Amino acid sequence: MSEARIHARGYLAYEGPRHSPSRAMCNLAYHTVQRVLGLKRSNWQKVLPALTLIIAFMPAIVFVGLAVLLPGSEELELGESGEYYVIIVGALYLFAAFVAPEAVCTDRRSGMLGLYMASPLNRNTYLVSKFAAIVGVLAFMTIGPPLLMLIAYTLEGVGPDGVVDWLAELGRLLSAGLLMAVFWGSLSIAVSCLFERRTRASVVIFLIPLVSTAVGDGLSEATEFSDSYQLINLFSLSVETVYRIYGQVNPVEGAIVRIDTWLVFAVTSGLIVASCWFACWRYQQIEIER
Amino acid sequence: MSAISLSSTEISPTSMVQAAGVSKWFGDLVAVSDVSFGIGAGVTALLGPNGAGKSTLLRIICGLARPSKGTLTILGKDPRRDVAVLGRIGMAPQQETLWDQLSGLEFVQLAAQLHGLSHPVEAARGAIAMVELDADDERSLSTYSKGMRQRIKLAQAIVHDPLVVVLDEPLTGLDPRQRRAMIALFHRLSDAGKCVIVSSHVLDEVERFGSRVLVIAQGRLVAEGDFHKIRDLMDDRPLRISIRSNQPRTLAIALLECGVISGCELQDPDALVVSTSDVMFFRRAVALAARDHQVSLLEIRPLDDDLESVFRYLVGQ
Amino acid sequence: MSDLIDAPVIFAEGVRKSYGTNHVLLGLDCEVGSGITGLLGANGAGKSTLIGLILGLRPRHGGVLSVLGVDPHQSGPELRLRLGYAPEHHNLPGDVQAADLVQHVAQLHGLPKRIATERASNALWQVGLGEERFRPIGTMSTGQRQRVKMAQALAHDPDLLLLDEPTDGLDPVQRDAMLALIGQVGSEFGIDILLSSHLLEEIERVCDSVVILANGVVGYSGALDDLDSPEAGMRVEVDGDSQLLADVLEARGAEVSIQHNSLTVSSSATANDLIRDTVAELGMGLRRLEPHRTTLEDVFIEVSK
Repeated sequence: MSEARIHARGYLAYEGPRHSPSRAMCNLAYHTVQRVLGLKRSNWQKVLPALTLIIAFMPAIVFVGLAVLLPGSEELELGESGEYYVIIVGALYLFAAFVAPEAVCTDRRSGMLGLYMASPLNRNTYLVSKFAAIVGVLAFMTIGPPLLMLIAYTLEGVGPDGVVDWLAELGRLLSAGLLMAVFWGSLSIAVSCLFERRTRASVVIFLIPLVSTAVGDGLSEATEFSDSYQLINLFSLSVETVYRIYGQVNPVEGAIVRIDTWLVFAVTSGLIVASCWFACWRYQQIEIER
Repeated sequence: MSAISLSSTEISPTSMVQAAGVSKWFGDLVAVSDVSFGIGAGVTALLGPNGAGKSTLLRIICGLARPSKGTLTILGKDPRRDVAVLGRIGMAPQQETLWDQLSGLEFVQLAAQLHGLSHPVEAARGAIAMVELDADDERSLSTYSKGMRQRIKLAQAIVHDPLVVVLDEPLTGLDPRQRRAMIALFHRLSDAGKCVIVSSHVLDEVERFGSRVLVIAQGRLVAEGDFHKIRDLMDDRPLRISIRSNQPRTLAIALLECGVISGCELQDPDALVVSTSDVMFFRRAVALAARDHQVSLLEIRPLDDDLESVFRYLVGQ
Repeated sequence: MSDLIDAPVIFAEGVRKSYGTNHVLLGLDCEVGSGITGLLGANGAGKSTLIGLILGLRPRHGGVLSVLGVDPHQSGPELRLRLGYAPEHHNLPGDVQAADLVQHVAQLHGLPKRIATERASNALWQVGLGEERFRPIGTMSTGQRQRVKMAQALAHDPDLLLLDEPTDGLDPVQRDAMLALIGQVGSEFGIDILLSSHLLEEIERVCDSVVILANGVVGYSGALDDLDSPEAGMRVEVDGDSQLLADVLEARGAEVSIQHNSLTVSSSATANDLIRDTVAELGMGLRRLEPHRTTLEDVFIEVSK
């Protein structure tokens, strides 16, 4: 006779191991990257992130393609490393304005913030995870293309000479990329904190650099090209920071060339710290326990 | 399930709200199907599962939606044709108001002005006092708690002293004291001769504010009238009653002998659960049987004659 | 399940909390044991604030608070790993599938990814959304959203579940199903529950004990069974003229009060037999006869004055 048996049905307790609360931050950051890039969402949500990535990568890919297809071509005139960052800053700007606000705005609107605060996260770890996610994607855009170029140069045999120089170039590339990503990421998150609606945050983030350009240019015009006012211009400031990291001089007319390097870095880091501080302060004010 | 109706005698010329064969469909979706009823002065509860068509029916009553078929009249007139009749209806919708930037007084005053009252401020103050809020509170509606929002919506609905007051889910979000005050307000409106139609999911509360109900399920009217009487009509479902006494066996035999119960079950040492399909007869018999056999009754408690059981039966779950 | 029998699930002593000059909690003392506990209070009595403190979202301004044996403000993240929370609001991200949301929350509470996926699916079946688990939450009804909230609170097997108005917006049949689920979670799953609700009947139906907040302190706390006091008299409802019955009973020496259609007859050794005989004599139908109970509502109204 075969044995009959009723197995335990219904709810099962979980006795297994649990990850520590810090793992929740990784999970949230990973989840945010997915969301921001529009993965697991409708195709429409993938358009903007894809577009900004294409803007950032297309020149590098074309360049590398040419390098591979036409080895030794004389057409491969190698410009200053800083020049490419003008395109990248454009892509960062678009991403910071139109894609990144999804990371924090939507959580407040959709009530997810309440669920997150009831998880092992708290306000600060939440923000750090969100920030890490945004910076991660931005850094992919700032580091990826120059890295491709560096590899292409190296394969072409026109890269930096020797391992030490090559590593130094890589170091400059990484630090410039990371600084750009953090700079635009912190601007984006600071503004996003103020709005529940993503579109409103986008409009404001879109306008701030434009206004800063107008004000910066206007002031330097009025004061006969005083460079210090150009520091207000967020585009010029980020591009200039990169040139300083590379130790190069921006060839564009009207660029910030006469300002001391320490001041350029001080303004950049000052803006980053202020934005981050503002975001943390703002989140302490938000009431969640509803 | 066939509709249970006590309505034949109650649909009378005194009905303030009268529906005759009202249907409403949106494309292929039938929201309300061939509904007829008459509602007079007093409080009537409109009940039904989510998605059964209650909100659509309320909108039709208020003249906000046109029936696809059939007629709905308020005081004998079609609210979608007769502006004067429209002014006798007040409604508090379920959804949150969109006027978040206004203060309570401004919001109610706006409603008063829309109804063309000659003294909107006085009317608004009066209505706000009725719902026990402070007309001088200058905070905007966005700062209001759920309970305050419910009350200001009610004030807005009664500011023009309507005869028919329609309230969609006015009890949600209220704490027990606020609910009590709200129900007292329903009774005041009802005592003033108004027809108050309230939809609610909180059946325990509905039981307190009136026994007259309209039950809608799947767009159809499945019952109307006093829910106690509706329960008595549900004769295919025997009523179960728990009786505690000092001699349950003796009482069980006595009740079986006089044929008022169709089944009985001994539970705790002193408890007996009986089923009966003729509950009126049972109620008269139980005291007599107990007296004749000298059984002391400790407790008699019907197990499924509350509104919740009636509701479940009617909506078929 | 709280294995430590000695340690209460929630222990509060003199807990105070203010927002600026608005003093919400003014020295709150209570002890919540295992099982299902109802949290009641008028709007504005401090329920949300208390839940916020239990979750460790805000510092308190004095007093001792311990949840599952730890101070929520000191070790918030570690505590929240063991808590499940279903908020009051219904808005959840509309473009996310229920299964993804529940899995995400379970992962945040420390479950490895595979297990989180599996338990998310199980939890959704448990709450009756098995078939709907891959639907975006935006397409769901209020009743289904309430169940998604329940599933996300439950999936990681918390020790304590905080439910804020879990039946809000549900129709009577859905409410019944939700209450049955809550009862099942509390008894069969062995998870302690703190249930905040405005509906006293609901609390009476599923809870073992209750905490009532009033004016920033605990107005009442205790087991629901303690409310029964059979000495308070008998409640009688009849088919027929209640007033006539009251008059006859009074003429025969009973003390009677009448409200609506229900009589309350003071207890005495012979009261029950007197009621029986009088009803039989008058040929009335005896609808209901039961000891007058102090309802939760009586207590609530009393302490909320």
